Amino acid sequence: NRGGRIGGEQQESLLSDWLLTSLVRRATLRESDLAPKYEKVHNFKVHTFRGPHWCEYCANFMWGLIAQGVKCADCGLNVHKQCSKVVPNDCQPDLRHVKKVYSCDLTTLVKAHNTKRPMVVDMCIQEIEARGLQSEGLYRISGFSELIEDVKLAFDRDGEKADISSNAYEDINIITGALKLYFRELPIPLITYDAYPRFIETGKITDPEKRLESLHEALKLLPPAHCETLRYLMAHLKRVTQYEKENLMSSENLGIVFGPTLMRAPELDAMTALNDIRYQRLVVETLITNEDVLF
Amino acid sequence: MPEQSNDYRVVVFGAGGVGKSSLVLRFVKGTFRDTYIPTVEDTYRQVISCDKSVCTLQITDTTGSHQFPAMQRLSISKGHAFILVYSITSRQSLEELKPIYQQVLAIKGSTESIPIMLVGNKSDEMAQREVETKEGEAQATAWKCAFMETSAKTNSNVKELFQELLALEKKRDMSLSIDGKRSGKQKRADKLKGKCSVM
Repeated sequence: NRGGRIGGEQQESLLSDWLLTSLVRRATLRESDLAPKYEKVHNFKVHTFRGPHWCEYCANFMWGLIAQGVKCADCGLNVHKQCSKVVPNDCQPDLRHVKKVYSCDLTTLVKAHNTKRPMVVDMCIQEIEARGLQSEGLYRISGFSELIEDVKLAFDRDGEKADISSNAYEDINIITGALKLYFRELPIPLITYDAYPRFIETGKITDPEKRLESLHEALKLLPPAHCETLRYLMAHLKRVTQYEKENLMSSENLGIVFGPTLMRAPELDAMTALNDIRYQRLVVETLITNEDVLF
Repeated sequence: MPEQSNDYRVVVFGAGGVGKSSLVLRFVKGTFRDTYIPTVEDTYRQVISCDKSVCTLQITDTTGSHQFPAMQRLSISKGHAFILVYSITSRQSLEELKPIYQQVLAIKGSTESIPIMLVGNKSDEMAQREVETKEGEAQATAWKCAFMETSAKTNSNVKELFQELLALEKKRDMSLSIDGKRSGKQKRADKLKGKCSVM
């Protein structure tokens, strides 16, 4: 035991360290009580363990020399391949395993960072509302692609500490570009592949009342973290349209720009994808204009 | 080049809001709308003369607001000629053409025999000018392509733009007018430019 070999002074500092970490842990615990509990499946990958390992589900030994079991790439849980099928969906991603922000699964990201929504979405929207609502062609005009890439790298590197203020990026179109890029790079789009057909169906309904009803049903198919992010984004876009006189962006225009950004057809058939664009636009437009009743 | 079809496909690229649709609509319909609606992708057709017979000029108006690599690649590989549009009121819009040009180069291998036009639109908005004509010309020289400043709003150089583009195509002999169907306006434009189309 290391504890026996250290002197009094060191012991004291260790004790204060321990006190501090326990305080921090308690604080984060309280925070996680506030943050909604999104259910998340584990992301198991076959793994070769070095040295003896025991399954963290059934506690039995993991036999073999290679590929003894599976490891969750998001939280690091080690279990038998057989046990992985019965493990509950209680994956709590760890920042040690979740390194990137962009192109990371949305639920994984918010669970790892203990936030309600991806910090990219919150931070970009706050920045845009603070200094860009009246900018002409907001979300339509694109910023320098290198600088947008730069913002992405900053988020990947610094997370919520990324600096996207006007000192760092003067042009608001870089921030809107970075936000759109975040949605485009999601491995599962904000409107998920599973829910996609239902959303497209609602776009085909002509009766406005019935469309709203079916859209309301379709929203229930989204994972909670996706739905919450969509709600927040739509409320923001609604505020953008309130400055239409200055920024020229109506809900129709935003629907055109955001339709293909938020929705992607599960299979990549170019013809159907092109056909769907019309309905994607309609769906997003309806979501923006009716965000107050839909969510 | 893909299948031997009678279509001649022109693809218009450029950043959001530089006036791609306005240019195309001015050319195809002769009108100018002061509306503000982003494009997803539109295709327009116009009958032109080609190798002494008629063929369809197919103009694809692309989106500038959000890049879809897959859709962009498809348009490039299918396109015969390209119009790269920026706005003279935005230096950034010229910057944004660079990756698009690089992609055309990458997909087509070489741009030598491919008609490409660099276009500085909104030439009527002199007061807001950010990109000098010289800079546009310099960029065109670097890219070994033709250059023109246009205004879809005041209908300046729009028809000329498409004429020049077709004249750059060496593999086929093309012109905007069809035999016997020349409009007075067209003739005047030709005279002004001192050019003679194939008749």
